[in-house]
Amino acid sequence: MWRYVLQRLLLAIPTLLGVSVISFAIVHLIPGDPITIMFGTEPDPVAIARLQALYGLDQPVHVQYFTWLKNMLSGNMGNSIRLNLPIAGMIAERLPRTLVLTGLGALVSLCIAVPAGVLAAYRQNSWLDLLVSGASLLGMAMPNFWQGIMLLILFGVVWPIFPLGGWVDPTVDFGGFFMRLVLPAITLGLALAAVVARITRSSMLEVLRQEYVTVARAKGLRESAVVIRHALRNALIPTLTVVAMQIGYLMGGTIVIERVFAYPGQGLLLLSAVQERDYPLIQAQVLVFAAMFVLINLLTDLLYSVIDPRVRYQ
Amino acid sequence: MGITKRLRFTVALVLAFALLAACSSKPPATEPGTSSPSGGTTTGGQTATGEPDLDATLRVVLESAPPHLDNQLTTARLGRTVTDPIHVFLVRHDKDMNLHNYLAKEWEQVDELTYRFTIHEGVKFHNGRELVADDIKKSMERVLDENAGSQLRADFLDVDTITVLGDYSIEFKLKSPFAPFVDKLARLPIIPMEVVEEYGDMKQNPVGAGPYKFVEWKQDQEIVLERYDDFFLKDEVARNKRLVFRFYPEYTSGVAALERGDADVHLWINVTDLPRLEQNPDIQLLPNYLNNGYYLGFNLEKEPLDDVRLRQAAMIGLDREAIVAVAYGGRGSANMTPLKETGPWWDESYRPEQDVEKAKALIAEVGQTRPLELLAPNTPIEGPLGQMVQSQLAAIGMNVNLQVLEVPAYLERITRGDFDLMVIGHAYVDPDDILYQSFLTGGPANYFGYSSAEADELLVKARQSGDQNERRELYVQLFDVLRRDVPATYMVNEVRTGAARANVSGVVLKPNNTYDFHLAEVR
Repeated sequence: MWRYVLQRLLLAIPTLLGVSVISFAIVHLIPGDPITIMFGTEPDPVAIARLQALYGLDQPVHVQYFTWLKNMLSGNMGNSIRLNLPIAGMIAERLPRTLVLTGLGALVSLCIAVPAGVLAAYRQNSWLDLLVSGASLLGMAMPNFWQGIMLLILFGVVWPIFPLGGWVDPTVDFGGFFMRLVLPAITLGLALAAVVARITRSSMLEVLRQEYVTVARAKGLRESAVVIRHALRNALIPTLTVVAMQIGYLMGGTIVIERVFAYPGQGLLLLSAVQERDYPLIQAQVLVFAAMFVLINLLTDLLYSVIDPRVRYQ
Repeated sequence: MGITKRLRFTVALVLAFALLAACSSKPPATEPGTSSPSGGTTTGGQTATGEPDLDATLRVVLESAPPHLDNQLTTARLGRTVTDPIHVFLVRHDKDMNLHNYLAKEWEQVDELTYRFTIHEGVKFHNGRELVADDIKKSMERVLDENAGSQLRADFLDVDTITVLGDYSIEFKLKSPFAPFVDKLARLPIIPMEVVEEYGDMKQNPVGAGPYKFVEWKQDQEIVLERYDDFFLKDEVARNKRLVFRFYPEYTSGVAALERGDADVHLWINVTDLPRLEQNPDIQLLPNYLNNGYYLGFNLEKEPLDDVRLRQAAMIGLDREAIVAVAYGGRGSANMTPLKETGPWWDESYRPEQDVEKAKALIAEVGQTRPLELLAPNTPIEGPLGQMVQSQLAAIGMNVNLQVLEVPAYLERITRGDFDLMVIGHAYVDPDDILYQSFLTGGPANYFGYSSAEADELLVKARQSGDQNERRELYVQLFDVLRRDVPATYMVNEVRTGAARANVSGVVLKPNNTYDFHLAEVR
């Protein structure tokens, strides 16, 4: 299995290189550059030219790319143009926050969606099934940021149960940290739950019709054992694939959620970097997001073999 | 049967939401802040009762952090809002934009080109060192240094020599007369250069001698300032212990924070939220009649707008009152210039004129043109303004496509001259701030490609004249020229509304979009 892991990691290198080339090109193709933006509607051509030269922005794009790549390979992510702070430190601070939020969001979605999907399949065509299908359709149709704002207004203003967002250091105030995570995690989780519930339902339906389930029942096993131990375990493989794919998107989704809940994670950092065209900061973050995507996919593939012992990696 | 059940469920759901909505509405009554006719606002004292809490934290909502904290490098609103309280300036404006001494004890204009300032003794920077005249010299020199990349540089290009006459006295000599010079000094923060020498800039660690000192910047969360107890004006030591700027990138969350009491002040409320907040007894609204103007600019270097008849048609075809009513929720005034009616520069000739028939005739005279592209930045004001302008131009027969762009993309296109029409707003202390840059031949904000010897002469005369009445008259003549040539046409002066909790008093909102927080009291 380790050989397989190593192979996959080596394959990730060209992927990430490709991502870096494409994102570098896109970032430099969109109009606006960090220095012009700094000057806003009062441009000072002399000062702008000086600063562009200072940051190497007057060089051809491919020269800028190779300079950046060389620095990255030697472990230097550089400094943010806007803030004059080391990028590595900024990402080290923000990434864990986004991972915690994404993880909790995924957990929320699994806790809602798997039982809902199983029940809906088990009681196919009942009111429960209709409710789950209807709710998940609604969940997929509603824009995520809108759900977030609604939750915020309901549970932050009308019934002020939760803080309006933000972040506190868990080592200082764990309660406050957790309470601030609840609404963003639920918002993030709801979006994923809608998809996961549908997948779980349909794959459960398929598994429940298979002969080995009938055999299990004929053996006289309790219904709960049939459904959970025998059927669900097989039905989870497609669910897992979807969840893994979606966690990648979930990390992208945090950009919107972090904005609504003023949660100072990687998403918010990326958003402000894009708005200010802070090239090195955008570039480093896109790469980190891509690397996370690759890693999560690898982990999922490895998890298959845990859930289904028939899957083996040579 | 299933359908009846589902229907019942739906009805129940709708009722539940209706109940929720009912719970959230609140009883009326509110006390607005005290707004002066010439513009600025101070949060009202009437509703704030009880003793002020001198240990209080004043929490201010901002939509995002400023790009950095180096006040010498920026003229942008966010940067100035957060860092102005950290610094002192030679002079300052009150809420009616009258100029007062600040760090300067007194100043005199020795001759047309020479200004001499005497400053307070014993003023200490937050790092403990005394502020002396040499710091003023170095502060000005840094702004003028091309390598520093300061947006203020353009304001002080006329400075010729700076002479330190003693520890507490300094003299500026200009290359040519420049009437708004002292006004501009209200924008020059005096800094201890040793901090810049140590860190390279003040982007992360601003140090000044103002009423607040910088404590920390939690990225994307908040910036914390704390009362500076040794502030040199003893009767103006900050009335609140901490001034905290919290960032709510989602507008709705920021307003929710104010309504819930998680924040004390919100500096910019969208017009759509004002009726609701007006009904909230815990909130006071703070209308601020800005010194600003929103204009529609034309690209004179591209056909067909190189034909002045089309530009004149647009100028007289616009219904500015309707624009104020719709895009600004009625909060603003229709105007053909950025010089507002209640200010010292007003002239009756600036009243909006509209003549739809003449506009249509002018367009008919020119004949069919290609579709024109109107650019607007995607801000809460300029976006809707662009839509209004587009529909009104369509009504007089101009075929205009609106492109609402993200701000950086918008800036790039207008600075490159890649547009037909554009809308934008700009604010000023002295009219020269925006007029000279926008309408001088080759001026840095002259996106239109406008060049007129007549306008150039009036602009230069107006900035050089020391006589206010003469300057006012020169601007009247300038706008006559601009209404004839129409490189751009002004439409609206804006009243921008902030809001504060009812128990807050003493926050000052000024017409140039700046604020004073240090005399704010929370009760």
